Amino acid sequence: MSQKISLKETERKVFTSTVQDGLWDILIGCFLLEFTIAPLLSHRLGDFWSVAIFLTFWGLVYFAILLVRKFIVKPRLGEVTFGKMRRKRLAQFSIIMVVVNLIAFILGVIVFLNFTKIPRIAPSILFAFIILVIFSLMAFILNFNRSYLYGLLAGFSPLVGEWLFYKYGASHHGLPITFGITAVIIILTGVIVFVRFLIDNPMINILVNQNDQPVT
Amino acid sequence: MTSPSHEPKLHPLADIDTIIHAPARLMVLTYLYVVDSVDYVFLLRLTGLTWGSLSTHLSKLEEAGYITIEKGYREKNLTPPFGSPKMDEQPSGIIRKVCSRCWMTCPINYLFYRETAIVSSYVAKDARLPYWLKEYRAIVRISFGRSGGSGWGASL
Repeated sequence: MSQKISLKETERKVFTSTVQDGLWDILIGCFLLEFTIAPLLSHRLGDFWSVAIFLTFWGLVYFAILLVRKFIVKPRLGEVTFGKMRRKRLAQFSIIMVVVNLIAFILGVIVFLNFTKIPRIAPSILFAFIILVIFSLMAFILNFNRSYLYGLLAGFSPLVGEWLFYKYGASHHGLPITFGITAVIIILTGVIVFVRFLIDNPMINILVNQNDQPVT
Repeated sequence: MTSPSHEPKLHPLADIDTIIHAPARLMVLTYLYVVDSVDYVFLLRLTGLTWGSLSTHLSKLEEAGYITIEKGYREKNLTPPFGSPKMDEQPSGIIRKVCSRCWMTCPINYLFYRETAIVSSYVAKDARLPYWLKEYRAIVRISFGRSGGSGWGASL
Protein backbone atom coordinates (compact mmCIF):
# COMPACT_ATOMS: atom_id res chain seq x y z
CA MET A 1 0.00 0.00 0.00
CA SER A 2 1.26 3.44 -0.79
CA GLN A 3 -0.04 6.85 0.06
CA LYS A 4 1.24 10.16 -1.17
CA ILE A 5 1.54 12.89 1.39
CA SER A 6 1.35 16.41 0.07
CA LEU A 7 3.28 18.66 2.41
CA LYS A 8 1.71 21.74 0.85
CA GLU A 9 -1.74 20.34 1.45
CA THR A 10 -0.81 19.38 4.99
CA GLU A 11 0.49 22.86 5.73
CA ARG A 12 -2.68 24.34 4.26
CA LYS A 13 -4.77 22.05 6.43
CA VAL A 14 -2.86 23.07 9.53
CA PHE A 15 -3.26 26.74 8.72
CA THR A 16 -6.95 26.60 7.83
CA SER A 17 -7.62 24.72 11.05
CA THR A 18 -6.49 27.84 12.91
CA VAL A 19 -8.88 30.19 11.13
CA GLN A 20 -11.97 28.02 11.27
CA ASP A 21 -13.29 29.45 14.50
CA GLY A 22 -15.76 31.87 12.91
CA LEU A 23 -14.24 34.95 14.51
CA TRP A 24 -12.92 36.28 11.21
CA ASP A 25 -16.41 36.04 9.78
CA ILE A 26 -17.89 37.96 12.68
CA LEU A 27 -15.23 40.65 12.35
CA ILE A 28 -15.78 41.02 8.61
CA GLY A 29 -19.55 41.05 9.05
CA CYS A 30 -19.30 43.76 11.69
CA PHE A 31 -17.12 45.81 9.40
CA LEU A 32 -19.67 45.58 6.61
CA LEU A 33 -22.30 46.79 9.03
CA GLU A 34 -20.63 50.17 8.67
CA PHE A 35 -22.30 50.60 5.29
CA THR A 36 -25.63 49.96 6.96
CA ILE A 37 -25.31 51.89 10.18
CA ALA A 38 -23.20 54.86 9.11
CA PRO A 39 -25.62 56.07 6.37
CA LEU A 40 -28.56 55.71 8.72
CA LEU A 41 -26.82 57.71 11.44
CA SER A 42 -25.53 60.38 9.08
CA HIS A 43 -28.87 62.23 8.99
CA ARG A 44 -28.70 63.00 12.68
CA LEU A 45 -24.98 63.04 13.36
CA GLY A 46 -23.44 64.06 10.10
CA ASP A 47 -20.98 62.02 8.05
CA PHE A 48 -17.98 62.44 10.32
CA TRP A 49 -19.59 61.46 13.61
CA SER A 50 -21.60 58.62 12.15
CA VAL A 51 -18.41 57.03 10.85
CA ALA A 52 -16.53 57.87 14.07
CA ILE A 53 -19.19 56.20 16.20
CA PHE A 54 -19.25 53.17 13.98
CA LEU A 55 -15.47 52.81 14.05
CA THR A 56 -15.59 52.93 17.84
CA PHE A 57 -18.18 50.17 17.79
CA TRP A 58 -16.03 48.16 15.43
CA GLY A 59 -13.01 48.72 17.65
CA LEU A 60 -14.95 47.33 20.60
CA VAL A 61 -15.96 44.30 18.56
CA TYR A 62 -12.33 43.80 17.57
CA PHE A 63 -11.24 44.02 21.19
CA ALA A 64 -13.95 41.57 22.25
CA ILE A 65 -12.82 39.15 19.56
CA LEU A 66 -9.23 39.40 20.76
CA LEU A 67 -10.39 38.48 24.25
CA VAL A 68 -12.50 35.59 22.97
CA ARG A 69 -9.55 34.36 20.96
CA LYS A 70 -7.24 34.53 23.95
CA PHE A 71 -9.47 33.02 26.62
CA ILE A 72 -11.82 30.74 24.69
CA VAL A 73 -10.28 29.78 21.37
CA LYS A 74 -6.60 29.41 22.21
CA PRO A 75 -7.02 26.99 25.10
CA ARG A 76 -9.10 24.78 22.83
CA LEU A 77 -7.06 25.18 19.70
CA GLY A 78 -3.56 25.18 21.07
CA GLU A 79 -0.73 27.27 19.72
CA VAL A 80 1.29 26.93 16.58
CA THR A 81 4.17 28.80 15.04
CA PHE A 82 4.06 28.55 11.29
CA GLY A 83 7.02 27.97 9.04
CA LYS A 84 8.85 30.45 6.84
CA MET A 85 6.61 29.79 3.85
CA ARG A 86 3.42 30.72 5.66
CA ARG A 87 4.97 33.70 7.38
CA LYS A 88 6.18 34.95 4.01
CA ARG A 89 2.71 34.49 2.60
CA LEU A 90 1.12 36.43 5.43
CA ALA A 91 3.63 39.23 4.94
CA GLN A 92 2.84 39.28 1.22
CA PHE A 93 -0.84 39.48 2.06
CA SER A 94 -0.27 42.51 4.26
CA ILE A 95 1.73 44.29 1.57
CA ILE A 96 -0.79 43.47 -1.15
CA MET A 97 -3.65 44.71 1.03
CA VAL A 98 -1.87 48.01 1.65
CA VAL A 99 -1.27 48.44 -2.09
CA VAL A 100 -4.86 47.52 -3.02
CA ASN A 101 -6.30 49.88 -0.43
CA LEU A 102 -4.01 52.65 -1.63
CA ILE A 103 -5.16 52.12 -5.21
CA ALA A 104 -8.79 52.04 -4.02
CA PHE A 105 -8.25 55.32 -2.18
CA ILE A 106 -6.72 57.00 -5.22
CA LEU A 107 -9.53 55.73 -7.46
CA GLY A 108 -12.06 56.97 -4.92
CA VAL A 109 -10.51 60.44 -4.96
CA ILE A 110 -10.51 60.48 -8.76
CA VAL A 111 -14.18 59.43 -8.84
CA PHE A 112 -15.05 62.06 -6.23
CA LEU A 113 -13.34 64.83 -8.19
CA ASN A 114 -15.04 63.80 -11.43
CA PHE A 115 -18.38 62.85 -9.92
CA THR A 116 -20.43 64.93 -12.39
CA LYS A 117 -18.55 63.75 -15.46
CA ILE A 118 -18.82 59.98 -15.02
CA PRO A 119 -21.89 57.75 -15.32
CA ARG A 120 -23.84 57.54 -12.07
CA ILE A 121 -23.46 53.79 -11.85
CA ALA A 122 -19.65 53.99 -12.18
CA PRO A 123 -18.86 54.56 -8.46
CA SER A 124 -20.95 51.52 -7.51
CA ILE A 125 -19.24 49.35 -10.12
CA LEU A 126 -15.84 50.50 -8.93
CA PHE A 127 -16.79 49.91 -5.30
CA ALA A 128 -18.08 46.42 -6.12
CA PHE A 129 -14.92 45.60 -8.05
CA ILE A 130 -12.64 46.70 -5.23
CA ILE A 131 -14.60 44.69 -2.67
CA LEU A 132 -14.46 41.63 -4.89
CA VAL A 133 -10.71 41.98 -5.39
CA ILE A 134 -10.01 42.40 -1.67
CA PHE A 135 -12.13 39.44 -0.61
CA SER A 136 -10.79 37.23 -3.39
CA LEU A 137 -7.21 38.04 -2.51
CA MET A 138 -7.96 37.25 1.09
CA ALA A 139 -9.51 33.93 0.10
CA PHE A 140 -6.65 33.02 -2.19
CA ILE A 141 -3.70 34.03 -0.05
CA LEU A 142 -5.09 32.95 3.30
CA ASN A 143 -6.80 29.77 2.01
CA PHE A 144 -10.01 31.12 3.46
CA ASN A 145 -12.46 29.84 0.87
CA ARG A 146 -15.63 31.31 2.35
CA SER A 147 -14.19 34.70 1.53
CA TYR A 148 -14.92 34.15 -2.20
CA LEU A 149 -18.60 33.87 -1.35
CA TYR A 150 -18.41 36.85 0.96
CA GLY A 151 -16.71 38.80 -1.83
CA LEU A 152 -19.58 38.00 -4.19
CA LEU A 153 -22.18 38.93 -1.60
CA ALA A 154 -20.49 42.18 -0.62
CA GLY A 155 -19.54 42.95 -4.24
CA PHE A 156 -23.12 42.70 -5.42
CA SER A 157 -24.38 44.79 -2.53
CA PRO A 158 -23.64 48.24 -4.02
CA LEU A 159 -24.94 47.14 -7.42
CA VAL A 160 -28.18 45.73 -6.05
CA GLY A 161 -28.45 48.77 -3.80
CA GLU A 162 -28.16 51.03 -6.81
CA TRP A 163 -30.85 49.03 -8.55
CA LEU A 164 -33.14 49.35 -5.51
CA PHE A 165 -32.48 53.08 -5.52
CA TYR A 166 -33.43 53.53 -9.17
CA LYS A 167 -36.34 51.09 -9.10
CA TYR A 168 -37.91 51.76 -5.70
CA GLY A 169 -36.19 54.90 -4.47
CA ALA A 170 -34.47 53.15 -1.57
CA SER A 171 -32.63 55.60 0.67
CA HIS A 172 -28.84 55.94 0.62
CA HIS A 173 -28.63 54.12 -2.71
CA GLY A 174 -30.02 51.01 -1.03
CA LEU A 175 -26.75 50.40 0.81
CA PRO A 176 -28.30 49.96 4.28
CA ILE A 177 -30.55 47.20 2.96
CA THR A 178 -28.07 45.27 0.85
CA PHE A 179 -25.06 45.59 3.12
CA GLY A 180 -27.27 44.94 6.12
CA ILE A 181 -28.41 41.62 4.67
CA THR A 182 -24.85 40.70 3.64
CA ALA A 183 -23.47 41.59 7.07
CA VAL A 184 -26.16 39.60 8.86
CA ILE A 185 -25.49 36.55 6.66
CA ILE A 186 -21.75 36.75 7.32
CA ILE A 187 -22.14 37.33 11.05
CA LEU A 188 -24.62 34.47 11.36
CA THR A 189 -22.25 32.19 9.47
CA GLY A 190 -19.49 33.23 11.85
CA VAL A 191 -21.62 32.55 14.90
CA ILE A 192 -22.64 29.11 13.60
CA VAL A 193 -19.02 28.24 12.80
CA PHE A 194 -17.94 29.47 16.22
CA VAL A 195 -20.57 27.40 18.02
CA ARG A 196 -19.57 24.36 15.99
CA PHE A 197 -15.96 25.03 16.83
CA LEU A 198 -16.79 25.10 20.54
CA ILE A 199 -18.73 21.85 20.26
CA ASP A 200 -16.08 20.09 18.20
CA ASN A 201 -13.18 21.30 20.32
CA PRO A 202 -13.96 20.93 23.98
CA MET A 203 -11.41 21.89 26.59
CA ILE A 204 -8.79 19.24 26.97
CA ASN A 205 -8.85 18.17 30.57
CA ILE A 206 -6.30 15.51 31.34
CA LEU A 207 -4.89 14.81 34.74
CA VAL A 208 -1.63 13.01 35.08
CA ASN A 209 0.33 11.72 38.00
CA GLN A 210 3.99 12.23 38.78
CA ASN A 211 4.87 9.33 36.49
CA ASP A 212 3.27 11.05 33.54
CA GLN A 213 0.39 8.60 33.44
CA PRO A 214 -3.25 9.68 32.96
CA VAL A 215 -5.38 9.68 36.08
CA THR A 216 -8.98 8.66 35.52
CA MET B 1 7.00 -17.98 -5.49
CA THR B 2 9.57 -15.25 -5.39
CA SER B 3 12.42 -15.55 -7.79
CA PRO B 4 15.90 -15.08 -6.37
CA SER B 5 16.43 -12.13 -8.68
CA HIS B 6 13.88 -10.11 -6.70
CA GLU B 7 15.49 -10.64 -3.35
CA PRO B 8 18.03 -7.82 -3.49
CA LYS B 9 15.19 -5.33 -4.01
CA LEU B 10 13.74 -6.32 -0.67
CA HIS B 11 16.91 -5.62 1.22
CA PRO B 12 16.19 -1.91 1.68
CA LEU B 13 13.06 -2.85 3.61
CA ALA B 14 15.28 -4.02 6.40
CA ASP B 15 16.72 -0.53 6.61
CA ILE B 16 13.36 1.14 7.24
CA ASP B 17 13.44 3.17 10.39
CA THR B 18 10.61 1.79 12.46
CA ILE B 19 10.68 4.86 14.67
CA ILE B 20 9.49 7.01 11.79
CA HIS B 21 7.38 4.56 9.87
CA ALA B 22 4.79 3.81 12.47
CA PRO B 23 1.70 5.52 10.99
CA ALA B 24 0.97 7.71 13.99
CA ARG B 25 4.57 8.87 14.31
CA LEU B 26 4.79 9.54 10.59
CA MET B 27 1.66 11.66 10.91
CA VAL B 28 3.12 13.58 13.82
CA LEU B 29 6.37 14.18 11.97
CA THR B 30 4.52 15.29 8.85
CA TYR B 31 2.64 17.91 10.81
CA LEU B 32 5.76 19.04 12.60
CA TYR B 33 7.66 19.26 9.33
CA VAL B 34 5.34 21.93 7.93
CA VAL B 35 5.35 24.19 10.97
CA ASP B 36 8.02 25.64 13.20
CA SER B 37 6.55 24.45 16.45
CA VAL B 38 3.24 23.49 18.00
CA ASP B 39 2.04 22.96 21.49
CA TYR B 40 0.62 19.79 22.90
CA VAL B 41 -3.04 20.71 22.61
CA PHE B 42 -2.70 21.68 18.98
CA LEU B 43 -1.01 18.43 18.08
CA LEU B 44 -3.52 16.40 20.04
CA ARG B 45 -6.39 18.03 18.19
CA LEU B 46 -4.71 17.81 14.80
CA THR B 47 -3.73 14.17 14.96
CA GLY B 48 -6.86 12.93 16.70
CA LEU B 49 -4.74 10.62 18.82
CA THR B 50 -5.48 9.97 22.45
CA TRP B 51 -3.36 11.63 25.07
CA GLY B 52 -1.61 8.42 26.08
CA SER B 53 -0.87 7.39 22.54
CA LEU B 54 0.48 10.78 21.52
CA SER B 55 2.58 11.01 24.66
CA THR B 56 4.16 7.64 23.96
CA HIS B 57 4.89 8.47 20.34
CA LEU B 58 6.37 11.83 21.23
CA SER B 59 8.63 10.24 23.81
CA LYS B 60 9.94 7.78 21.26
CA LEU B 61 10.51 10.47 18.68
CA GLU B 62 12.29 12.63 21.21
CA GLU B 63 14.47 9.76 22.35
CA ALA B 64 15.43 9.09 18.75
CA GLY B 65 16.26 12.75 18.27
CA TYR B 66 13.66 13.49 15.64
CA ILE B 67 11.86 16.11 17.64
CA THR B 68 12.60 18.54 20.41
CA ILE B 69 10.19 19.03 23.26
CA GLU B 70 10.60 22.12 25.35
CA LYS B 71 8.59 22.02 28.52
CA GLY B 72 7.92 25.02 30.62
CA TYR B 73 5.21 27.23 31.93
CA ARG B 74 4.13 30.76 31.51
CA GLU B 75 4.62 32.60 34.71
CA LYS B 76 2.75 35.81 34.21
CA ASN B 77 1.17 37.71 37.03
CA LEU B 78 1.67 34.88 39.46
CA THR B 79 1.19 37.06 42.47
CA PRO B 80 -2.42 36.90 43.53
CA PRO B 81 -4.18 40.20 44.07
CA PHE B 82 -4.63 39.62 47.80
CA GLY B 83 -1.20 38.36 48.79
CA SER B 84 0.22 34.87 48.56
CA PRO B 85 -2.42 32.22 49.00
CA LYS B 86 -1.84 29.72 51.75
CA MET B 87 -2.29 26.09 51.02
CA ASP B 88 -5.16 25.67 53.44
CA GLU B 89 -7.05 28.49 51.74
CA GLN B 90 -7.09 26.75 48.46
CA PRO B 91 -10.26 25.18 47.16
CA SER B 92 -11.00 21.53 47.51
CA GLY B 93 -10.95 18.53 45.22
CA ILE B 94 -9.44 18.60 41.86
CA ILE B 95 -8.59 22.26 42.03
CA ARG B 96 -6.55 21.86 45.16
CA LYS B 97 -4.66 19.14 43.44
CA VAL B 98 -3.70 21.53 40.71
CA CYS B 99 -2.89 24.31 43.14
CA SER B 100 -0.77 22.20 45.39
CA ARG B 101 1.15 20.86 42.48
CA CYS B 102 1.65 24.27 40.99
CA TRP B 103 2.72 25.92 44.18
CA MET B 104 4.52 23.18 46.02
CA THR B 105 6.23 21.00 43.51
CA CYS B 106 5.74 22.53 40.08
CA PRO B 107 6.37 19.29 38.23
CA ILE B 108 6.89 20.31 34.67
CA ASN B 109 5.39 17.10 33.40
CA TYR B 110 2.18 17.87 35.13
CA LEU B 111 1.96 21.29 33.60
CA PHE B 112 2.55 19.71 30.23
CA TYR B 113 -1.15 19.12 29.86
CA ARG B 114 -2.54 22.60 30.54
CA GLU B 115 -4.89 23.16 33.36
CA THR B 116 -7.00 25.65 31.54
CA ALA B 117 -10.09 23.45 31.68
CA ILE B 118 -9.67 22.96 35.36
CA VAL B 119 -8.97 26.62 35.85
CA SER B 120 -12.10 27.53 33.94
CA SER B 121 -14.25 25.41 36.15
CA TYR B 122 -12.45 26.87 39.08
CA VAL B 123 -13.14 30.45 38.03
CA ALA B 124 -16.83 29.71 38.15
CA LYS B 125 -16.54 28.51 41.74
CA ASP B 126 -14.43 31.23 43.25
CA ALA B 127 -13.66 34.50 41.59
CA ARG B 128 -10.90 35.40 44.02
CA LEU B 129 -7.95 33.58 42.55
CA PRO B 130 -8.30 33.39 38.80
CA TYR B 131 -5.93 36.30 38.27
CA TRP B 132 -2.94 34.26 39.15
CA LEU B 133 -4.24 30.84 38.22
CA LYS B 134 -5.38 31.43 34.71
CA GLU B 135 -2.01 32.74 33.66
CA TYR B 136 -0.34 29.66 34.96
CA ARG B 137 -0.42 27.62 31.83
CA ALA B 138 1.85 25.08 30.37
CA ILE B 139 3.82 25.89 27.32
CA VAL B 140 5.09 22.99 25.35
CA ARG B 141 6.82 23.61 22.11
CA ILE B 142 7.28 20.58 19.98
CA SER B 143 9.39 21.05 16.93
CA PHE B 144 11.15 19.06 14.29
CA GLY B 145 14.81 18.33 14.88
CA ARG B 146 17.07 18.90 17.82
CA SER B 147 17.69 22.58 17.49
CA GLY B 148 14.05 23.66 17.44
CA GLY B 149 12.26 24.84 14.31
CA SER B 150 12.46 22.89 11.10
CA GLY B 151 13.79 25.74 9.02
CA TRP B 152 12.75 23.76 5.98
CA GLY B 153 9.50 25.51 5.34
CA ALA B 154 10.87 27.11 2.20
CA SER B 155 11.29 23.71 0.58
CA LEU B 156 7.53 23.19 0.39
